[in-house]
Amino acid sequence: MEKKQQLHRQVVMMRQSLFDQGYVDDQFVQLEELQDDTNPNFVEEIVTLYYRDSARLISSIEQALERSPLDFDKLDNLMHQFRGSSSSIGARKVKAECTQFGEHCVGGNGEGCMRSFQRMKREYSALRKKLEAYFQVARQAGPMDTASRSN
Amino acid sequence: MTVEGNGRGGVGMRDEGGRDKFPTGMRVLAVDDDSTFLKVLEKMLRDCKYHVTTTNDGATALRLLRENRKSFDLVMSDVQMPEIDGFKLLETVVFEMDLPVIMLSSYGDTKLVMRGVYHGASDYLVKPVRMEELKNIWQHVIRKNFNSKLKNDCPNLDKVNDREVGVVGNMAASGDLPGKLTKRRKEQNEDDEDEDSEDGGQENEEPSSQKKPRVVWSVELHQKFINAVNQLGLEKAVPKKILDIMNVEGITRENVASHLQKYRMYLKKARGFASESKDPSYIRLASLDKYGEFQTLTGSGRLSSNSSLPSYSAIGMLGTFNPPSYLGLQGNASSGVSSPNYLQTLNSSFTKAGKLQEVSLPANQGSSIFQGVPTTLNFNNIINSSIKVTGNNLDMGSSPNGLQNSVYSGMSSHVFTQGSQLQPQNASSVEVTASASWQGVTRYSNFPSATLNQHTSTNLRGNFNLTSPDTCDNLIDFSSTGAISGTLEDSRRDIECDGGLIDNVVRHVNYGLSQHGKDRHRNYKQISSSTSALVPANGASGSVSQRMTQNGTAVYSGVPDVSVIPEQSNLSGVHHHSSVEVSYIDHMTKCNDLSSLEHMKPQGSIYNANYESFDELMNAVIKRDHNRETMLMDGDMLFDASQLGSCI
Repeated sequence: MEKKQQLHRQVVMMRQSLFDQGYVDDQFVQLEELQDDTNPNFVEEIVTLYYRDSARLISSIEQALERSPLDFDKLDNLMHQFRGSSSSIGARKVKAECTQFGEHCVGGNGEGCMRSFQRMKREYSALRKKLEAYFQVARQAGPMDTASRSN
Repeated sequence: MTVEGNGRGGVGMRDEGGRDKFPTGMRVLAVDDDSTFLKVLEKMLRDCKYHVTTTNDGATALRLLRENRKSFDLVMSDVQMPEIDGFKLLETVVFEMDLPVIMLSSYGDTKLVMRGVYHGASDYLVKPVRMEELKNIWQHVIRKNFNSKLKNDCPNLDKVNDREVGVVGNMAASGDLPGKLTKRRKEQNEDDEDEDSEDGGQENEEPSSQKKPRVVWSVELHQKFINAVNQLGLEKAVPKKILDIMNVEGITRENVASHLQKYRMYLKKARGFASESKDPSYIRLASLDKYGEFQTLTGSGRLSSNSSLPSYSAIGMLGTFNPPSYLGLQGNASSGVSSPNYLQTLNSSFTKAGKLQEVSLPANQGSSIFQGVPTTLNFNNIINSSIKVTGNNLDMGSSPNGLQNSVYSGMSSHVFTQGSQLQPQNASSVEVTASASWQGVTRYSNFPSATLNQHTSTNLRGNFNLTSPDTCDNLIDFSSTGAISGTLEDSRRDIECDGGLIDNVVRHVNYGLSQHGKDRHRNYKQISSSTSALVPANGASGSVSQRMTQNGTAVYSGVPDVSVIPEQSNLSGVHHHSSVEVSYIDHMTKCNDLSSLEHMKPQGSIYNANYESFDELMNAVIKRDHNRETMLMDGDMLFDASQLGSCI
């Protein structure tokens, strides 16, 4: 029983830190609100979908960055898609990096794009780790209010 | 009473027996290459109780739609997709399938939104999309059906219009039209009762072609037409010669013929008004043919006695080429716009019914200019539509104003009422509606309202004098509109507006009240500019007139006419219709029949208030809760046909 409570508390804390540390924004809450009895793992499903889309896009961007000269339009396009996905789950920091990247594309700044891309990948990895850990504990804790509520 | 608000008819709910539950079960097709977003959207739409189909691929979407046109009520699509051009898809769905389309995009910048509007989008949502935004998307379906229904009320006119509408694509391609002024076909197809007759009519008139694209009589095109007619002389103007002079590709002699017929009818009406008035401006009005007015006039025929809604749609339809007969002028041809003067005419319209509702009916009112003045004009539209006013749009001198403009004035009430439609989000949802209904007009209200609000208030402030009954000065209010549009310019400079309709409206209003003073005219320029500005906003409507209608009419409706109304004693009828109008009337005419205000829609708290100034009203409108306003506009207005009807 206590373990359960502890887990629940842990989930709440981890969730809170996702917001506090700026990993996710309000859109994440929107996802949580869509979660219900008929879709009990909705948020996780969406995030998993996001990983899949992201992997593909990141790989494409990487390939495009290896071209010479850089096709900024294409890069911008790809990053725009990635940005869209990221915003769908509320991935705040990742989205910010995408925007930065986009600006570099517009400015034709290849170096800027490279740097931005690296930062974006780091943020993405960090987010992914955080989310995976969070969902794992959440699953262990079992059904509970995902909204930030104290037990 | 036409649409009862549950999208009957064209919504397609009939089959599922879910008609009464609309918007529950509304069938949405969502297209986006972003699977993550699509899944979220799907869940959200399901939570809204819509029936959802999704696809990543535009080609699949088109296939699904073509397989059965009636299998969906609404389409939502991303505009930036790799495999297929989102805007092309948008256009295809809008024109070929005649379904409302909501654009989705991560970008909310003005240019894109504008483009969407031009391509026919009913709305524009910026990702990530929130639930609140999806809760009201059903309105686009209703609006479309509504306009369609209005059209169907006057099938003859409709057929002519429909036939003429459609070559826009060609015209746009040939560069004749600014942007893609393609007009969405009315949802005739979806209205069973008229489908056959519509098709039959079309076929009869153009036996050589099957589904000929409709000709959209854009402002430019109409201007060419007018020039040709003037060159030939109205008496001698024959379609063949007009066609030759116009020298435009894509239109046939038949197109010109039917347009000429309508034009003649319009002139007859206009002249009927003007000839009785000693005011030269009236006569000038009559002889001038501002496209918008003309359209209004032709559209007015649609205002049948069926519902008060037509009046709304009429207004809305001002923007559209197939204007709903909100003006009711056409229909009134027989009823006799015989009143000696404009005011009287209006007055009689009102007095007859005591409610604008009747007035709006062409059959009842010979001259009810107010007919079809949708009360729900989108002030927001005007405000929100970031339309650049180009210099030539302000050319008031050249654009003829017709009495029809007065109709627009009626619509200005919409402007106000729609004020509340402004959404706080930045361009989060731009509702572009091809349908001319007032609802459509309100769509623009979703433009970044923040900026506009400020502008609006400021602009309006100085101009409204709602204190005196014969304040034709109220027309000046338009100038404030103009001011607003000026402000709009700041934010959006992409759209070129032919400004025909709006100019007309403005001018019309001014002329109409010219008896009250000449200095109003100076306000026209402003107004016209504003209207011009507004016009582009309605790109979705496909034709300049449409655009203007949505924006311009909103602006104009109601106020100027209202000022006219003061002369009449029976203003109470007016009060019932549009809260905005009523307030204006109230202010302007000092007709303190506030009790009538109480009859205003329950939610219309704004309307019930006795605003001291337009500015106040606007502020109040702007402050209104969006949803509530929507309800008021869409729900209340829509379903309260009587009140709607009265809103002229």
